[in-house]
Amino acid sequence: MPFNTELVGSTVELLVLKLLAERTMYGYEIIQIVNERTDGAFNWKEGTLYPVLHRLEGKGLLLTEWQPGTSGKQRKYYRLTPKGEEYAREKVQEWHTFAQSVQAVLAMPALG
Amino acid sequence: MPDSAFDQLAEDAAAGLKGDQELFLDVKQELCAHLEDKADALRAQGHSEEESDDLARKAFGSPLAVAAELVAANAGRMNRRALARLAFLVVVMPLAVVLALYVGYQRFVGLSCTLSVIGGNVGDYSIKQLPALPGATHIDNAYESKASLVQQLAGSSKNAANLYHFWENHRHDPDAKMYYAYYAIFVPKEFVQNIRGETMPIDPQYVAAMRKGEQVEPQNALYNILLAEYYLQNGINIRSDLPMGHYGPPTDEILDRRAFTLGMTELRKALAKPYLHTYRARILQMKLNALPTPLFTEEYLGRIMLAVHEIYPEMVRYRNLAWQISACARVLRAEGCLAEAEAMMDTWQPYTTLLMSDASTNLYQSSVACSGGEVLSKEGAEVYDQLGITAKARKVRAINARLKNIDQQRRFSKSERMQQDDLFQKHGAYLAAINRARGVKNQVLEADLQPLRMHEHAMIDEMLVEGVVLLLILALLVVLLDGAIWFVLRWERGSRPLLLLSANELFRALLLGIALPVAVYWVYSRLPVIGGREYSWSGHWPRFAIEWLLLAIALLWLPSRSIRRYIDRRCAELGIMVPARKQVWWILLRTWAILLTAVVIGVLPALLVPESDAFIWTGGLLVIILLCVAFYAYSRTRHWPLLPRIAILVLAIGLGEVAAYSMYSHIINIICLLLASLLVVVSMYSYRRVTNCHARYHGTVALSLAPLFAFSALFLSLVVQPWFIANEVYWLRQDSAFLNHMSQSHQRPVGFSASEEQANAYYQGLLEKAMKEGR
Repeated sequence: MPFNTELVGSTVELLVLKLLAERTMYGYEIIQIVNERTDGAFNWKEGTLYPVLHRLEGKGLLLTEWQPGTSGKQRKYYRLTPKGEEYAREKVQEWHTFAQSVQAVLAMPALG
Repeated sequence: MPDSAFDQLAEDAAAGLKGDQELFLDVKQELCAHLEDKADALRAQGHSEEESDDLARKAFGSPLAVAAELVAANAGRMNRRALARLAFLVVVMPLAVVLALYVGYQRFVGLSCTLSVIGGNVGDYSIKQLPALPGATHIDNAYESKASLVQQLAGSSKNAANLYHFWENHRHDPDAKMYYAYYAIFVPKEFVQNIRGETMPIDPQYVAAMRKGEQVEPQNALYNILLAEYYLQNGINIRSDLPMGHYGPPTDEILDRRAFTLGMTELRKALAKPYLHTYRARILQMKLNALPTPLFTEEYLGRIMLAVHEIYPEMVRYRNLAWQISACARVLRAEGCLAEAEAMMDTWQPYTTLLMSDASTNLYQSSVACSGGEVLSKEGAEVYDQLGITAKARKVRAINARLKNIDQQRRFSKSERMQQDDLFQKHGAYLAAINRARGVKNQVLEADLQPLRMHEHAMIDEMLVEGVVLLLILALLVVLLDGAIWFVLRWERGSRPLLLLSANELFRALLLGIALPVAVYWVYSRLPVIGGREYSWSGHWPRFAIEWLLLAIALLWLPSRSIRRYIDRRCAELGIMVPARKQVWWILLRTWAILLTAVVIGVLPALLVPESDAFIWTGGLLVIILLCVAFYAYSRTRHWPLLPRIAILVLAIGLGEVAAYSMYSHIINIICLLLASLLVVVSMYSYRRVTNCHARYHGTVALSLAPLFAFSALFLSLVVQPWFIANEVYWLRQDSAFLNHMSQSHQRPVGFSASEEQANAYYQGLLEKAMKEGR
């Protein structure tokens, strides 16, 4: 079931931060991993990832470095700055709290 | 990097960033790489090439939507970068270049002064003539504030009246006798041209001044000594006055009998007094203490020269009197006054003892005592022989042999007791110079000026830093010229050089390319065996030249390499084609060859015309070449026809030639300017056929190297050089073998440093022993 675009859009930043907290990645790799882990449930336009990455970079949360990938092609890798790591932790925590709150409401039996 | 199938899509998506070329190319490359990865993945899933490309495009989404989001995401960064670029181009870069050129000029002046000192041309050298570095004007200010005292104490016959007034104003001070003694040295007097046999009347004012000195300090033999020297200068021609091989009287002769008699009388009066005090070391200390603490080596050297100028001429006078004493004895013997001749010659020992009485004030004085004693005993033995007093002659000869031994030991031997070599090593050319400077004829030889060459260690370091700064400024001029060529030549063709150098990269290049080699050199130059400075510029300059050449190569090559590697890497990342390495080297070589040829043409007049100012030429030629290239490039971009372009160029060069000829008035200038014009034409032609790829690459390299060299020059001038100098001043302060007041240690009593005391005590002991044993 494809998700609502706005819902996906609002979580892209969180997903990017969470994945980059695991290791350095380039843009296409991020998309690949998200698709693998969600089984392609996020049917997003791939081009929209880059403005998100650049915005985070502009905020000083990410650093970039061009490196040759496994195929030898030059790729721009992203990694979290210390500030980004802190921000990512906060965002993940915020999401968990939010999801639990939403879940708590959804799990309650219907009134009346 | 070849054009990708997704080039257009990526360019459309990144189109909003075109205002920042580097960012635009960076994002475009990133998006291209993404699309290619996606298409490759789709192909791996079995889609055809065309299908894969289409699906990749679809998955990417609308380029317009992505473009809008990218602009929004990068807006802040683009603004910051634009501002930084603007500030860099309009403020930082011009400021750095102007400041670097200014500092470079200052270093050039400093280097000229240091070279002048090494060359022995010390006549025009003074503390005041050296321009202060930026931020160091307090030296001049402090100097000015002390100017009155310095002027009152300044050693020049022109202001003897000032010295007298100074004494008058302080006549009740405990040190008043010192001030008068100092004045007495500079009382003006008429000199006699002995060689032409002309005599001058005795100057009554000079005599009166000395008589007054006797009243001020009756026990001091100084005034009688000065009078004796003056009278005898007027009274007799002495054969020793003439260097060997010159014309002149073969024997001594009386010029003015009255002056001759008066001179001998004054000498006897002097010898009856208990001591001879010149007070020069103390006066000099007062003068130097009146000056602010020296911060720069040039200033320190200026003070050393002040000291030498002050002390040496006076010391020469005492030695002259020694020559005159033996001449008097010879003249008397020739006239048949044998008893008087013997009595006159007998004064040699008391006179030497008198000189020794003040030898405890500085090494120069002890050196003069030894020298005077040696001169007198040598000539005394000859006179005694002529008088037939063989017993005395034998004794004096024995003393002379001992004094000669001391002299030999001071100058050449490696005394185990004093370990003189070690002393030289520790205290540098000061001591060596003092020891070498004595024992000469009564003319000032180059060796007598050796003290001016002391502390070559300091000068060599000074020259090193100044030379390196000049080198970097030259490199800056070269890359600016290079950058100007590429920047202007290709401006209209959309191949503007990129300013890619990040602050991190600049810092890294400064640290690894400039600071590290200088630090390595600094450590090397202080290693005692392989790098130690041995105080001998003339003997070691080839080695220093090789060391500096290697350092210069390292300083130019290392940072350039670092910057080039960075630019190569960025070009690869951004998909900018880098010219083949061979072509890059060829163009680099050509640029440097053109600039070096310009410099060679610039210094040609100096080689061919005596007293020409070649450095003005070099700078002028570089400016002419730069202007011509800029003009040529501008005219090309405006597509002017060839003929008017050449006509204007020829006119400009012709005007330059006329101006240069009217300034310097020598045919060589015309030849050099013609050569320069030819060089301009050749250089322009050589740049005609380069491609956009070359232009962008070389322009980027040149404009990235320019701030590096500018900041390097500033870093060396404003950080490294003061540090070097602070280090050298510290080092110089340890070296107080000659004049401990050079150390500016106000607490230390007037007298010696430990090493000077040791050296003085040793030589004075030898001297006294030699004199006693001979009795």
